[in-house]
Amino acid sequence: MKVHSSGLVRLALVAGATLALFVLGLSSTADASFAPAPSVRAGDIFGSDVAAGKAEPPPPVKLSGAKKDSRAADSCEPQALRAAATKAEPLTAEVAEKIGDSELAGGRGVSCVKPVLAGATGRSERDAMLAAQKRKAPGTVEASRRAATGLKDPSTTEVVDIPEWCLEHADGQWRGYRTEQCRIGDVLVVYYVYHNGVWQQVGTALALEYSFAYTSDLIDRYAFQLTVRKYWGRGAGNFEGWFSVVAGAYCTNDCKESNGGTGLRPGRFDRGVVNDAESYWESTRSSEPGDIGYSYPSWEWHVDGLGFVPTQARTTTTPLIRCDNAFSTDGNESGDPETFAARQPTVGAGCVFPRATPVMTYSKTGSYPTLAAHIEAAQNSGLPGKYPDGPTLTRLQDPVKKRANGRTACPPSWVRPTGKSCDEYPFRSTKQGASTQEPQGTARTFAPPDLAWCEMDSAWGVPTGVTGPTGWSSCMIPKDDNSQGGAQLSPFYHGNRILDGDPFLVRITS
Amino acid sequence: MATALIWVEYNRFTIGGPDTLPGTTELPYANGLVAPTTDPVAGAVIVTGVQDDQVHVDARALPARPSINADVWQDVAEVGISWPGGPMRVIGADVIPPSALTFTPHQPPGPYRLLVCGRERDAGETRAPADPIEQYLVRVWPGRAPDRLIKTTSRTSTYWQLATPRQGETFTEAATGFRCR
Repeated sequence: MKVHSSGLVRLALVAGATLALFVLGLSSTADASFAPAPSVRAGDIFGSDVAAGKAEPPPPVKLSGAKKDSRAADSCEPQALRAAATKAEPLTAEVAEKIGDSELAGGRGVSCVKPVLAGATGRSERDAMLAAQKRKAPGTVEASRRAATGLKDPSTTEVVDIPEWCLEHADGQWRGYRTEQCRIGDVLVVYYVYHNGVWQQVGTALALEYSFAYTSDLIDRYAFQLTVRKYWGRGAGNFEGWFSVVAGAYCTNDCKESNGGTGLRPGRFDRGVVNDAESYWESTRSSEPGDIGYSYPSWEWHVDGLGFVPTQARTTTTPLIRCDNAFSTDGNESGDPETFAARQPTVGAGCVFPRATPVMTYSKTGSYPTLAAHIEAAQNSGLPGKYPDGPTLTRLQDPVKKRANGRTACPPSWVRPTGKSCDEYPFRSTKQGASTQEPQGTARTFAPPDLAWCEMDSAWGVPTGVTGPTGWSSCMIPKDDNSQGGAQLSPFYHGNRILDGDPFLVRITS
Repeated sequence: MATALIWVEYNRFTIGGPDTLPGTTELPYANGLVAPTTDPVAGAVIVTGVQDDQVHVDARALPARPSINADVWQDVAEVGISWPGGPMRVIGADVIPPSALTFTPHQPPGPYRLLVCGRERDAGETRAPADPIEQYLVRVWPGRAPDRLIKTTSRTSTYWQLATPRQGETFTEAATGFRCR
């Protein structure tokens, strides 16, 4: 039996500027007095309270508006079957006998693939397969870290473990986070023989198709991983060692192939065999400061075997990926012109799934409890940014406007109680801040008797009991809570590549 | 020598290299002024009185320790950093346009001393536009020496020395273990 070897099909892409892979990291030997590494690491996108284990990460979100797979979802439609049949060689007697009907010899064998919802057939095998995977799957935080770390190393070719959160939602829907998107869905393979003017179904097989794509905020290289695992078969769909599964990857728009990709291995469409493939891509539009590029990596795959011609490939395409170099530290610099302030190397590109809204988590029992409590009270009074469904906040990077937001919500004339500073919500680093919000609202607070820790001087005339979606809240809270809690927004913005004007939400947990 | 008004946010700015991103979650709890950081790697953080405003920075690389008139500064401290090589920058808030100041040409890798002096640090959030701007003097030179807290008189400095880092936050205490009082 001839088995097609799996291979990687590379399609020519529109060439952009040549991009040198970026590897982050200053090597240094720390003195003995240096502190331990910070709790936020590469791939941490949920905030420090989650990174430190003081809050659970939010659940993955189903992505609406994901681009439809480019090929017809149902390659089993009659027209496709008829077209494929014209290319099929006549079935041999051996194959017909294998099928169990020698009279089919001379007929034309065709196979097709289409997505289906999981049903009762093969369910126990399917669920057992997923359960076994879940036992070894990394949790949300660990999976995100592994993915980010792996992408930074251009020599990485290893397939990564599918995260637990993805295995818990095997429903054919894309879902995930800012830097990871996953879809696990069932596909049905149907085998037909066309003979003497009659179409006869001679077998079916069910498989899981795993599409897992991940990016990193630290590099403009990203990955799209495909896995195909058959879990049930009947008739020709139950032939072992007979069929292979073959895949090829491509990418559209601002992307080019990066090293490390593989085809489906081992490439056998047999029950329980895990066929994995990995593709790596780089942005072609991230070499200059301010560059932004968009792309859609895809996999095409089909089942191939002696006697049965596949109709057309099954295609799986990731949600939109955005790579930017907006965080480059090059650019205008203040200060005296100095000859050594020469143009710095362009660094800082990274990629995300821009349609996944980032979520910053603070825990009321975490590192910044009063900050968390203030945000919760403010959101519950109707102010925007509340996870999961509230109007989003949008990032603001204009320093003059940020300062104006701060001064409006927290006037310098207010004397700060000892050890406290003024906290405002929405954050001054958002367009919903006190000065830049539209429409303009008014101030509110949650001073006693609402919240004992929210210290406000009644002489300032900031009312309590105010609700509604416009306006802002101010509270004097411990300075270290305010400063350090606010500083956590920095790695959150970076880790999620939240650009000026990008939306995000804030989640408060117990 | 390079001077500039630098935008700060969350009460801090940093010292780093050309590829250092703005911001850090670390603070100088030991002396309330300056500390080496692990993130940014081999950099440093300076805490400010203002939360979200501009501060004036005068930064310079020297061949040896300078003499400083501590009388005109509220706070003065010196720490060590292990520089990986490259030009040094003062890096402010993550804003557009970027707020940063390159103050040295390429510096070879190795140990450096970082001296920081600060004044006008206590107006903080209550600083009115007409009030003096917070000022920082930054000086670096190659070498090793024990870290020193030379002077600490501001309320800002005292606040951070007495504050307790949260679990997971880094706390950098110099090898000499100095802590104000």
